[in-house]
Amino acid sequence: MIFAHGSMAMGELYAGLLQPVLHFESLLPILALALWAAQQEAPLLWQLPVAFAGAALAAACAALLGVALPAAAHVQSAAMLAFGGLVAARLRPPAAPALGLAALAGLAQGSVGAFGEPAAAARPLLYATGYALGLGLLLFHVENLAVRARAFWLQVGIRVVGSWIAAVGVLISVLALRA
Amino acid sequence: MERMDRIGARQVFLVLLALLVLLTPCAALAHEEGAAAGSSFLTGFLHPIRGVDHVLAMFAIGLWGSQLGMPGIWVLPVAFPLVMALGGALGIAGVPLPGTELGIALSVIALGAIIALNLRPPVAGALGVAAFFAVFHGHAHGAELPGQAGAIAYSAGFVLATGLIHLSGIAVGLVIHLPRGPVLVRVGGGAIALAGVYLLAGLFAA
Repeated sequence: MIFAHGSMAMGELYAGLLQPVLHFESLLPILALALWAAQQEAPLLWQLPVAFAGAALAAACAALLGVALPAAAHVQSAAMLAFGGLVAARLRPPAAPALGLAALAGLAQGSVGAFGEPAAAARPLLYATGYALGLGLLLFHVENLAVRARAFWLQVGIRVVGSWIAAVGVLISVLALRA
Repeated sequence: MERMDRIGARQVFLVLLALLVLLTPCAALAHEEGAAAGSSFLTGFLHPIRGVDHVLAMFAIGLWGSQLGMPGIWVLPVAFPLVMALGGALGIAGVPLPGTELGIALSVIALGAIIALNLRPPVAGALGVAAFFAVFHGHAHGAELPGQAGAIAYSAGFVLATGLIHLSGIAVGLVIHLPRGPVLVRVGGGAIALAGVYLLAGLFAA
């Protein structure tokens, strides 16, 4: 379906739009961050996704200009572990370190999301637009759902999902260390 | 939290959902050849489901949670995947764990017996028992984790499948709110323990 629109020159937009959803290594940190943000009080509630998405866009633009961040894939695995664990523990940390962590994970996210993608190289602006849209929509949607899930069992379910994401993060990180 | 004294439509729905989840492996196994050649996600998802010992132990953890009630019913499923992943990390790193298969068979017997005897340790104790066995289960899976390619999809499928078996254990355990429910749950635990004895016998016969 994506490729069917190639002739309309929209393929790159869709490639960017779908990048965060199509790869586990991109999807899981985003899910965990959105769930974590949903567990926070008012300012952090929206500051966390904004810091994450802003950093991701900046890193994506840098990647499109040819600058890839070092060890971005490892930071992404660590982000799964960190955010997933924070969701499972339902931690409410102080603002500064929380935002720093979100921004760091965002930088890695954007770098991996845009560097070395053929579609990004073909039409960088279109790809970046799609990527920003996809990332923003996903973050907003997941956090919105999680904030509305007030029932006790749903809150527990969110923590269980966080634990699952952290478990994947542990396995991937150790595997990367061995390789 | 109000006590759930009577069974409602939601509980029935959850139990039905659990049965559906439990039956999914049957459908998945029917397509085994296709799945083996398919994505790493499916391979990872099927891996825990295809080992009867693993399914029984994970199911027992959920069932035990239901029997413990608050807060064990949710602390166990939140903590278990993390501890199992640590065991998996040991397996990936190649740290040898003696008697992995034996530990897994014993975990099925122990967890089943704990449910049958209706032992109610404090949450920390329950967590300790679960964590001890989780390391064996995680190690067995971690040692079989494929290399870099598709590792994350495999891990995601593996964690998801394990968690779902867990949740079905909790959901089936909700029958504890039926009039004869507590006895049913204990009988279920006894059946799991017996199955564990059978697994253990199989280990020594082999």
